[in-house]
Amino acid sequence: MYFYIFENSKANREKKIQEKAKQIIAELGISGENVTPNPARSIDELIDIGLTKGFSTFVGIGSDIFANKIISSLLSNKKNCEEDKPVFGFVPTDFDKSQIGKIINVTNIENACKSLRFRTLKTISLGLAIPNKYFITPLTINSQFPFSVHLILPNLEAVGSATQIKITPDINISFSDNNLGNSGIQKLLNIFKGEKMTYSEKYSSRFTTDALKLVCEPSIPVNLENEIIAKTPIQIKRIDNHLQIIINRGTIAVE
Amino acid sequence: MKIGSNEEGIGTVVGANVRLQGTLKDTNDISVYGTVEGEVISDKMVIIADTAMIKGPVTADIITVSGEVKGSIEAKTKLEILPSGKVNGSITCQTLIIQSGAKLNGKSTMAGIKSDENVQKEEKTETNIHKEKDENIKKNILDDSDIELE
Repeated sequence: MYFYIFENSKANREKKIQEKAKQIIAELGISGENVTPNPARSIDELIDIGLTKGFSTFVGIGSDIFANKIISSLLSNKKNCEEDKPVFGFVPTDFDKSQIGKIINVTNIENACKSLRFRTLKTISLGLAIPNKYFITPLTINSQFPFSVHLILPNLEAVGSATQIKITPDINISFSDNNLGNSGIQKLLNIFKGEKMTYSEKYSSRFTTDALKLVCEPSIPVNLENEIIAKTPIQIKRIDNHLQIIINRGTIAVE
Repeated sequence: MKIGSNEEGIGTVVGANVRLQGTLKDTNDISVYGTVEGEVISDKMVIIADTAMIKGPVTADIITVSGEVKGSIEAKTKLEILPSGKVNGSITCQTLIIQSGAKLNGKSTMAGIKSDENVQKEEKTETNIHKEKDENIKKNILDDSDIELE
């Protein structure tokens, strides 16, 4: 039996998609318990109730940020048994924008619900912003003005400046300073020198690692989708093979 | 390079405004535009751009230098030093291309080709082996033979 958690959305479009999802789920014979977080019951509490009742598959219907919250709550809950990892399923309410939808390769509400029926599982790695914020979509840091970046990886330290940073769940960090090399004069110089690469690309960096510590000066908010989840300094690590996710049958999930 | 691109083979990129200390290791390509103090190791290609400065050894399959390297370079297949490239340190490679204007200050060893010193050492060793064999043969003849040589 599945534990369905519907995002509390006021938008009519999303409500219609949720109603449609309920209808298709019932037709497919995979109905379960439906809950919606509200001021009286948070996602953490609902997850706790579901685990107490013995549910092992939790399905989120909503946005990517909602899915991230469910995953984070699910994996942080102490009732989780290490041996029996919980299973997460997802039905996006915005298929065009959903990055998780692309990961599980669902393009519309019908194949998203059918994937729950066929229950093809894939164990994926995800990122953890210590202490307890798991994420399956990238973290971002954006600023109009450049800030200093001190990046500490297991075998090296890097110091630079940036205006935007992106950290993917497999801990691929990329940052660039868009203020450097983008002035009109520098672009003209570029043309006269005949250089193929623009200056702004020279000021982009990219590293892949298992764990990192990011210190920025000044301290700057870290966003997951459009929500602030932390502020720098922040420690992040990759948790390998930690989440079982339901993907669309016959596809390869992009981790 | 766009942020967050997942193109295969790009691997690690050190931007021109970044200073790095430690060991930079990647199974994919490494591109350096900034400053690295430490070792750079790649299983594939290392590109040292004209704005780059590396103080430390560089090891990869293919290495292209258009910046500055103060340290040894070991390229398993090919090393190319472009006109703006400066290398202060020993180099080891199978194929070496030094373009006009490039600066190289250090010892060069071509993999697969023996240096003069090594050839001389081997010749001496072979000579010693032959001498030993000759002496053993003479000894055996003298031991085995009952005939006294006149």
